[in-house]
Amino acid sequence: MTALRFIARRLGALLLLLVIVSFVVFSLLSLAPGSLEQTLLGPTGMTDPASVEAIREKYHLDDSFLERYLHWAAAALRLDFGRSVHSGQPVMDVIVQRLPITAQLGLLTLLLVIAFGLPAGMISAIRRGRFADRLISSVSIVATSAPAFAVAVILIYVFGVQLAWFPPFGTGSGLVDRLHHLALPAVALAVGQFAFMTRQTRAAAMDVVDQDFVVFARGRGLSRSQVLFGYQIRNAALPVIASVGLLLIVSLSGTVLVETAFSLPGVGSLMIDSVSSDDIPVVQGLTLLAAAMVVVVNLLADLAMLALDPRIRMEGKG
Amino acid sequence: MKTQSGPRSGSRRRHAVAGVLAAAAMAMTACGGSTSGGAPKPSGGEIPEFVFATQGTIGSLDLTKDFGAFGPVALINEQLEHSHSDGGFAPGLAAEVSETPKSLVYRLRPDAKFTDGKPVTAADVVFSIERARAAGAQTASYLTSVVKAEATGDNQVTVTLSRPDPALRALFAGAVAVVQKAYVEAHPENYGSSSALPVGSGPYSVGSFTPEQIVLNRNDRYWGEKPKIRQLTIRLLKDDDTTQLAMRSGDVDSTILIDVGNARRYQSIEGTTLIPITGNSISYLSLDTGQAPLSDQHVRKAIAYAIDRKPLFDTLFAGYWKNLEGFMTPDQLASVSSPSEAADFLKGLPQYPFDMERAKSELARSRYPEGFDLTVKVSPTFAWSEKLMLSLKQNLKPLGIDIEVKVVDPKAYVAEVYAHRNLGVKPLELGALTPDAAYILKLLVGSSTAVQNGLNTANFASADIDAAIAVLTSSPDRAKRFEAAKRLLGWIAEQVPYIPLFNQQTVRVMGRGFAYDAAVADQNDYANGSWIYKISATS
Repeated sequence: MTALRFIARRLGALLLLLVIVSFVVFSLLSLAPGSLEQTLLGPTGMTDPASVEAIREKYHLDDSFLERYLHWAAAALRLDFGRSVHSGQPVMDVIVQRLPITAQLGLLTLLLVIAFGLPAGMISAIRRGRFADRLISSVSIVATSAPAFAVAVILIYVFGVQLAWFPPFGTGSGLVDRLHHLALPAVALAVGQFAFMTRQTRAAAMDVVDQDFVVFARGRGLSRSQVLFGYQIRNAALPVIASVGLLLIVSLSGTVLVETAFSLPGVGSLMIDSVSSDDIPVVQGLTLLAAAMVVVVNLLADLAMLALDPRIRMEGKG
Repeated sequence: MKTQSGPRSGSRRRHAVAGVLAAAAMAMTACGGSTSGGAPKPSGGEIPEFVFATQGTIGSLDLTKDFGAFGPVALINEQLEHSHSDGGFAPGLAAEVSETPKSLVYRLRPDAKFTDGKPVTAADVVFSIERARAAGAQTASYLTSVVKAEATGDNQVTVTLSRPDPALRALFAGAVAVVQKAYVEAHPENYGSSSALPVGSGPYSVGSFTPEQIVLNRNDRYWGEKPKIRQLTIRLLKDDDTTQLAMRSGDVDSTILIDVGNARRYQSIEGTTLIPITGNSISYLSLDTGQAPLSDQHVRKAIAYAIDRKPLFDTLFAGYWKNLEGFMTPDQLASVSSPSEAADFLKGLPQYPFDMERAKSELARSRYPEGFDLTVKVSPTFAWSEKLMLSLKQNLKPLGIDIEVKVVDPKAYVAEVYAHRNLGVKPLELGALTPDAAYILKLLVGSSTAVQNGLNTANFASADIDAAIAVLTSSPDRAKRFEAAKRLLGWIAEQVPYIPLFNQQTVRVMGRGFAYDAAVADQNDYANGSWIYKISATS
């Protein structure tokens, strides 16, 4: 199967996924207690029948569930995701306004995870069974077990308040200030993913260390670092890249908690706000965005593997 | 002035709104970690920057879309009048207001200008009023007695009512934000968002509006007194933990505490001053008089005597609460009586202090002397309600009353209240929009509100009650209204459909370097924008 057909199939799966996910989320929201007019009008508003009528009409609340979904879906096909119930702004604008923070946070987290997880995993593999390996394993287990929210609070207290090395909340302005503000949130997120990266790398590297070509390279007199960087890392990278997609999903849920803890106005906290205020257009928009991101990232990871590993390309052609 | 009334849907924004009730009845400075040597001394002079933190989110600076934005909006779009908690008014955009039972005539200042230089005209005001009362606007339910608003002169607007509505003038002050007709018409869908920032005539203009904060810049075209603060940032923080950290690190200069139980944590921050603000909200237990066993008056009284308020609320609110004698605070009767008359009357009503012996004897006199089982649902929105019900559970167990306390989803709780079913015992809170007895009583008693979407969760109604409500809400005679209020409050105290619990105070926190003029503080300060003038930098 050529790369193009591969991509086409994956995009097709993406579309199907989007339909299913949007339908499921829409149903769950309708099943949740409370109604939009109660949220929008508040108790005194509810005592005025004319207002209740007006809201119900404006948001088609009297239509059946299926009618409302199809109404939304038809607009979504035209890439019109409606307007936020709360601010009247187009949903896309609302999301786009908040996306940069989450994207920056995600990127910084990924960098931290790779920068610390990869070497840690390699060391673990090379010094397998020894003290370094055990130490790294224990640290990973503790790190993964700690809930992101708890880690966030501890970081805020220790580094934000007591030591005052980092600002405890907010986003800052300008590149350096932004990095300064996102450092703690990124660490809070990275901690949970650290173990995953370490273990994956360790397993992949251990596999490679035993391979004939590594033994042969050492035997031919290549230095340790030449073997490491020239052969081991490249070969160990494959399973790790494959797991990046999984890592992203873990990130997404962690983002919601961490953004709340650090008062970051990203899409994670937008999701929480929108769900609790019944802002269905925004929730649907965010859901689609999340689903699309997961699929696209996994697709990119697969493409990267294709590019990196000639063996896969050969298999594909055959 | 504005607070959220009744059961809240659990949204943080509304929680924040409910708590914001300005003014101190008396000035107090914090004890503990605050400045040594007494209260900070104000020093006059310009304040280049000031950061105020509020909790929750603000979706839009258009009051008709998000009433939670009333604080910033009062500074951007000046109100027609500023309402005070004693029932009085100070002029705003309207230099003079005259009232008849069925009309309000506003004479506008001729020198008021919007920030773009255009004058504020009668047409703008009429447009703003019609917009505020359009069906579906969040402000519409306060203005239902308005028939029409029209320009009756160069700078004059007359509002005609369908019926006498003594509460309307105060509601008007808070619910109508005067917007520029041309601008709003040019941005019909997204007025109030960051892509169509409001154009107003108030002391501040909007510099920027993001989900994190609203930056306001002093408006040099403002007709009135220029505030000392040049740039005001209103930070929208998620919760109290973050706010507290922000105050500690000096990022935030002031906030208003909603969860006053946390007051002690703020007290320990060096340099802060805590000023209690008497609130205009009442917290109470609603008992469904239409449902056995609560339909038995003696059962209701037994429950009332079993509530031990002081230790519970002192802990929950760090002492920042007031006992409710009778179902309202004296301030809430301000429009129909003097504070002392009101206080005397309320004190004279039947009270139900904690007394287990009386609780036992009331139950013995009821139709259920052996006790009964009861399930009570509580919502996390009213954090005190779970603790209160657990305490009640303990106290009532020896009497044979078995209470099961269930914490439910806030929205489900609210939905049940609106559906007017399975009411039973419901802990609730009501914030009054105006210091007007009519407002609260008409929402909570009487047959017209013992229905779906109504707030008479006790189903407390009768022909006499309805007659009294009619007098209270529409008679132009102050004395008659007071009589009607007294009758209603008397019936509530005698028959206990509602058990008044507490009147919660909120606390204004001023960080290091700033002081608040507590001597002239008023509950409505934040809502009518006058708080900005009461802040000064300390020497």
